[in-house]
Amino acid sequence: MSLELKNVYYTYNAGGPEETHAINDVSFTIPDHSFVGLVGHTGSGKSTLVQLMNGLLAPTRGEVVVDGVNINDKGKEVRAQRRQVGLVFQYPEYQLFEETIAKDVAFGPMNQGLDEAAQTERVKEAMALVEMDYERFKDHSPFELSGGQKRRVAIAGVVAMRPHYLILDEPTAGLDPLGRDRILEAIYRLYENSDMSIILVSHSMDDVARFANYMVVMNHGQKVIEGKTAEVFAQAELLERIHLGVPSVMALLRALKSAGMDVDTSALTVNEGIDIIRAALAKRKEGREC
Amino acid sequence: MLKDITIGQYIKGNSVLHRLDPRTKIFGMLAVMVALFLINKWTGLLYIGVVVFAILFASQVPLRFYLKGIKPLLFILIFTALIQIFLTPGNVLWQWKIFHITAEGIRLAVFMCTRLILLVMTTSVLTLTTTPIQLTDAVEALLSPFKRIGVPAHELAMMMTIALRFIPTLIDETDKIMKAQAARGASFDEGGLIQRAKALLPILVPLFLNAIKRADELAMAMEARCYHGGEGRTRLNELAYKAADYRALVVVAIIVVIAFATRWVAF
Repeated sequence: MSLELKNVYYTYNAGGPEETHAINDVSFTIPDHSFVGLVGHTGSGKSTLVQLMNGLLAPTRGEVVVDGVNINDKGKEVRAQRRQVGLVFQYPEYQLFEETIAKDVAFGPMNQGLDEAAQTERVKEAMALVEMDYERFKDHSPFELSGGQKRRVAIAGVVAMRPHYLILDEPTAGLDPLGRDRILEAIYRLYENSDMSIILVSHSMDDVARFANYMVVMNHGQKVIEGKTAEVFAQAELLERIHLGVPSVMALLRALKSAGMDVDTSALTVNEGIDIIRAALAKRKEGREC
Repeated sequence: MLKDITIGQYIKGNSVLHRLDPRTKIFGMLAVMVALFLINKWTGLLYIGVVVFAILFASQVPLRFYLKGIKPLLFILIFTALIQIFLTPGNVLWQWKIFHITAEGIRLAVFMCTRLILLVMTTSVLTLTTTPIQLTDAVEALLSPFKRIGVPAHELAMMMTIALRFIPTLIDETDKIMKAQAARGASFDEGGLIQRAKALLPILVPLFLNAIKRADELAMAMEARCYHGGEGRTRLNELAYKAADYRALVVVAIIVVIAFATRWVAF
């Protein structure tokens, strides 16, 4: 059970004067039930990559294999296999269109050919997973909601299709800090409470460091690093060279170290950072007292 | 698929045609179109063909851009040709049941199609060598004499500018929404007509909502910058006829006169 890209290439306007090679020989494997951070700069090919991963785009060369099936083959089963990869686009609230929230969330399940009872069940489940109260919101218009709520409903619309892999392209773009935290925490709980793999596309190293346990780093259409989060961030110089940088806590610790303080620079979260700095300060105090 | 739509397909350049005043180009285009409809003989067609290609050449825009403009018309061209070939009465060359082809029909079909192609190429000269902004400026300038009888020249031009500005945005957005709905399992090319029309709903609703929202924001942004219509507004680039424009207008007048004259040639 894994999502695998094998030597994937993708070219826009192939053969034309504006030919652009968006993806160049990218291969990686997303392990089962992992929370993946897919990071890279604007124009690094992230958005093209996610569309390749659920079959919206077909690779110019190479294969995308989901749980053993090449999703660009022909046939009915292959189509069903593509549905295993749910994709939440950037600013997903733009996809809302129904009169009520319940109907909008049911759009995906309806397209999957489920009957009404099954649709309702999926809607309830999906709304619970994104932490929206079904009874309270089901008959509301999605356009009455706040930005963060709209986004959660839009995510529910994809979750309701019960994908095995859920890709979220910059799910926090344009939200205030509180909205960001709530969305990300909801996504993390979604990950914990199901057997789904989450692929979080982001350029915030802080968010990725906080939630992801696996990372794929893209730069100029190519994969730069792939691996466990801590291992990837251990290559701080490389990340800085492609201008992605490291989580802010790690950056602080690195700055302290280069200023002469003896600290461990592997911390990824704020709490770890605090502990390390405290320990270092205590050690220094001891040293002085001697 | 949506990427094939090209409106305001200005090609940068510095040819004589690029430098002409946009008003001159609009007059010129209209005149050549008139000339295209004045001719009724093969000599005239050949003459106007040479003129149009000379203009295309003078624009220094690669020919393939002009050919691209004809592609969407292929259906209309074939349709016109078929109608002319089968429905023109005259010398019957070939007959099968109720269908018959006449010599006059073939003649008319070739004539009409060539004329249509030349017509489209002529209009392409204008859009390929003139920026949308220049075009709307010209429209405003040409319409302003009619302001006195209540034609809202400035408002029309402003609407055109805004519409042109937002076409690419709307195309991008449609593409994005289509993909998002496709990711939720929607399909746009299955089922009968009614089903397909229904399938458009998930695209149209968000598209319109966004367009209205954006219009609202744009209006606010314009007001915040003290926009209050055309009155007392000055512009950065005033339109002014130059010597080249007068020369061009004379050339165009000669083209039309000769086109008119070809009506009296024998063949």
